[in-house]
Amino acid sequence: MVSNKTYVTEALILNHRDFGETDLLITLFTKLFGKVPVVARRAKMPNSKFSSGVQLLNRVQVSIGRGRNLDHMNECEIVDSFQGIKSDLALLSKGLFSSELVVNFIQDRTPNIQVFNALLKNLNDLEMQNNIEQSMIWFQLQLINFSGVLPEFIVCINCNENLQRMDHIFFPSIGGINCANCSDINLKDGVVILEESLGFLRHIQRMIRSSKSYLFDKNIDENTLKDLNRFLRIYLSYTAERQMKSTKFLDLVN
Amino acid sequence: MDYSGATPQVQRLIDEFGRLPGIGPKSAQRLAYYLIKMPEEISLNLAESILSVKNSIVLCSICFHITDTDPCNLCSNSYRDQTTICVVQQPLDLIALEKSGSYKGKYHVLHGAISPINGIGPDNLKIKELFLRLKNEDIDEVILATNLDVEGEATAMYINNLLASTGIKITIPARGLSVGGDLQYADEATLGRAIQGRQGI
Repeated sequence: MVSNKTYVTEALILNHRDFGETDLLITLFTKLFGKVPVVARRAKMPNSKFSSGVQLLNRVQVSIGRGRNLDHMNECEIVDSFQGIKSDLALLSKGLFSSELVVNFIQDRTPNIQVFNALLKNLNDLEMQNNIEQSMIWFQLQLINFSGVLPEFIVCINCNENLQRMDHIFFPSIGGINCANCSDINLKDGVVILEESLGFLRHIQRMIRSSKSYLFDKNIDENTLKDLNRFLRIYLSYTAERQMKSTKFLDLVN
Repeated sequence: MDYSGATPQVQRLIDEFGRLPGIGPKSAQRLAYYLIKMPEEISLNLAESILSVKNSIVLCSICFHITDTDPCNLCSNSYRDQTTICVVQQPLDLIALEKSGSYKGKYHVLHGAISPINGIGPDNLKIKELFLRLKNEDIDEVILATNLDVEGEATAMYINNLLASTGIKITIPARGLSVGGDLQYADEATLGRAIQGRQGI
């Protein structure tokens, strides 16, 4: 719902930082308007109407007033506070990692309902402890896909021939893999990707191309999950041009 | 920022006031001109007290509270309960608890909270120092009085997980409704906590 002065939308709380003495600058990921920075006035006061609503990872319904420079929060009602995630350090570290990825990959005020739904599903999976590791990988691939930076996993990036079933070296700088015939010794940023991981990524890519819903219909063993996590972390850091700050804590508690 | 009409010295004073938390350009200007009008003696006292605070203040080597004597008055007071440590995030939290007058034990100031999204982990806080204290002192109870936000609760959870095997009693301050608050205006998270933590009267 939009008027000239206010708008109402569903949102997830991605980040917050101090703004003056008692205000907070909240990074909201809204369903309708994308990522929006919003000032929550007096949110640091114990009797503030916003203090519990603006906690990290909360799913909220917000009413936002348009400002000259920054918008401000008028109302904030909690839809889901994901207490299950917040009462477990391992789950919390994963939720915050997903949240930080969105902060880094999504531009301000650019609506992206697919990524919003993907993050919401990821948080629901964490809350229900439903295939946690697979959900994390699924979310990261969704984010990469809907940010327009999904690499090529099926064919050689140079000659377009199908890649053989074997371990390969992935090059983030070219967004794919060179087959054995096209290997370029000048490329230096290669990352080894195991045959099983590549098989899974090809499966996902085919699903995307055929516009099918690509929920996990494959069982992935623990080693492949570990390799996929390692690969995705390297690729996401390369694409975002920075290391995610929350990875240190993620590794510490998992 | 440009404040037309101010001399370079006055402008410098305005800029310095402007660095303080909660002080905007207008307030900085007002404070600077107020100071100029003040008698010289009061201005000198203010300047001296700022300098003396900066020169004499250190962190207590035991609890890491801000103090002018090491150890601080709270740590060296033998009348306080020596078997309880209250862990707080900031020196201001300690002062707020002291003002309440309801706690008579020892403190430990962490100087922050775990905030993964801002890259602040346990190594950036005084958590190692807390464990060193628990090893060397005879402590029966640790009160984890961190803030009630995600970062504060994550910090409390992290310390609680590490302390679980030590046999030390770990407690947190009660969560729930604020004194003088109407029930109908409390949000669902606060009410939920209050109902979970209900007690007999």
